[in-house]
Amino acid sequence: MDNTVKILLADDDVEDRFIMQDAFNAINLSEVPLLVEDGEKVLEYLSETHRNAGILPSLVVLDLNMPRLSGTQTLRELKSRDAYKDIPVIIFSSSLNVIEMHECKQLGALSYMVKPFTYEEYLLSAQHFYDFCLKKHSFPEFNSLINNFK
Amino acid sequence: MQEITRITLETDMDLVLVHKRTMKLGELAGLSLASQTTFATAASEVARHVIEYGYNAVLILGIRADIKDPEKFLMARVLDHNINLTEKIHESMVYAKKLVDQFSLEQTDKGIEITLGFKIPGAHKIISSRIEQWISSFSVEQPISPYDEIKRKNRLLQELAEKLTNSETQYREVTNALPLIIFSINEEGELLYANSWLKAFTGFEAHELNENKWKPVIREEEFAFAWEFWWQHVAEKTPFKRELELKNDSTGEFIWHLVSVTPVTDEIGEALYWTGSMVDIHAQKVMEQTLRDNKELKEMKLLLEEKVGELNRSNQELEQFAYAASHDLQEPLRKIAYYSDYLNKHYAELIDERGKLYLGNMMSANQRMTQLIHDLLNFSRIYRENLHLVKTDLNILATEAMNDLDLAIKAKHAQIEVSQLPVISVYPMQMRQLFQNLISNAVKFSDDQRAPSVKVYAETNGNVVQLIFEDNGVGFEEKYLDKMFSLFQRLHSREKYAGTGIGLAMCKKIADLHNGTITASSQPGNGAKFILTLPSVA
Repeated sequence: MDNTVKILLADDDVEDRFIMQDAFNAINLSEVPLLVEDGEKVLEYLSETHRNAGILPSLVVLDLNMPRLSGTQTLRELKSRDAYKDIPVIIFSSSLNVIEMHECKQLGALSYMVKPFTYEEYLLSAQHFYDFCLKKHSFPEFNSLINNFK
Repeated sequence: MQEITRITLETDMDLVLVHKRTMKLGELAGLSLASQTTFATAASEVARHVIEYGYNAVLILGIRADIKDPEKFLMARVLDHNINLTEKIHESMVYAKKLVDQFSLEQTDKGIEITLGFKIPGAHKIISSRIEQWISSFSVEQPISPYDEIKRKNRLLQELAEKLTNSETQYREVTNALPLIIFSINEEGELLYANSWLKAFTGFEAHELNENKWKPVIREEEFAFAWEFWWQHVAEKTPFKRELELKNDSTGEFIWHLVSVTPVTDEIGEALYWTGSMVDIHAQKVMEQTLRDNKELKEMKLLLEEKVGELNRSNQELEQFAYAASHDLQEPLRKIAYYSDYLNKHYAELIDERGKLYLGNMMSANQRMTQLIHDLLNFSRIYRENLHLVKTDLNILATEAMNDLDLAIKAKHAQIEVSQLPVISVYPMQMRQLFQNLISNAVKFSDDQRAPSVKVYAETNGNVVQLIFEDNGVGFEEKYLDKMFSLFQRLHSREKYAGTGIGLAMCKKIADLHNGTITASSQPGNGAKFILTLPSVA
């Protein structure tokens, strides 16, 4: 297990955070996810880590519909700061919305995923996030996602 | 000769007048009673002669007071219009001639002129101012006799009658020349008089309208109301006005008129008859109507803008609803799906068969709900905004739709035959959805007895294109046709055919979007035929 890999996940839904942690636990990567409850917490965590010259996460996964700082707002913040703009961001939403998909693409998100409906799919998602950090997995391009949606 | 008075000579009664006036003139001139009588007798003789034989005669009494002539004469001149009177010269004329100092009988082209002159003794006393007095004394002369009075009145009456005739003629000429109908009418609604414009405009004389009660010139639907209005106002005996359309004889058009009617009453207020006019106010009415239409149009426009605003608001709400549905409704569903899946995977061994069955039912109910929300969202996304018509090869759309349905087609061993389809302007995504829904239905509602066979073909009829989707499935009863295209309407139980009841509603919405229509025909058990009709230029 590579201890340097950290994935920062933001979701306001406590059950979703629990499910996600559970999935990482199941694939023996319980130390990888850093779960926070909204966009503000994402920015707080990053600035603190940056200030302490810590290691920034390899991937940020954002829920879209969050109070205070939504997924898209957080994405915009991240991409506007030199220190964070190179961190890949994946949008992890409960539904497909082509308008939001376009917006996220324009704001510089790497990909857009719909939250899984089954346990197995959650395990797979967690694995993909981790593998991506090790450059063992690539997520589909936005254009193909949008076309599929159509 | 200076005229002092004149007397028309018509009947024997006039002779009395001639005698009286001549006597009076003689008296004024200072003649002796004998001389007065002589002069009066001579004048009367001539007058009697012309009354008997002459025509349209008049006696003029006067005075000849020539400055050069020291002598002055009382004159009596009879003018008669019978040219042949000279031949009738009679004894009496000879007698009259003897009585006066001067006598002349002249023939003119109008008739004859008999002049008697009677010398005034001591005439130097007569000055012109006195003659003026004489003239005025004759003109203000009180009626000397009832006859004289009657005669004077008669003359006045005649003059009046003449004036009246003139004025009536003038009035008729004026009213006839006016481009409006002027009339008088009795209480029964019968015209007593109407100017010529009535006939010129309506083509009917007054008496014809009295017979036909104006029926041919008033709109049929207005006829009863117009007469009712008349009876009502006639009873009130007050002036009234009403707008009424009258048919023009020459053009056959109904032209708006303003009818004004005023009662003519006697001294106790009883209406004798009514007078009125009908004026063409068509231009004004048309203008009023135009203004009103314009106003209505503006109001309609405002109303429409308001409605459009409302519609936009409601569309916005719908979009918000779609958004909320996509997020907020799907989120708990996803959780239910996840947990039931988790339960099924990890705890299946711990629950009994009934529990497993219920868990399975819950999962499939959840799946249906997810599908429903998904379909509903797709349905609500179909609106014109941000859509562009694209010239599209429908064959390609059909192929794409079939690719999407590949699994179902293969599972049912369905035969799908697409004949050459046209290239037309459509909203491609929506049209593909329609193809997919219709082909999917055709495959889905198949008859157990035979493999599904679907034919898709096009027919061009004038400026419409018809796309026909024909299958050999279970079909439907046509009485359900309208219901079928409504949202959430299903003709079959879920156990038999899965579905959310949105597919055909979506097809109808897509047809509407293309300014087209969709319908179907079928007999239960004999397949169905769905017909999409689109304008060639959608």
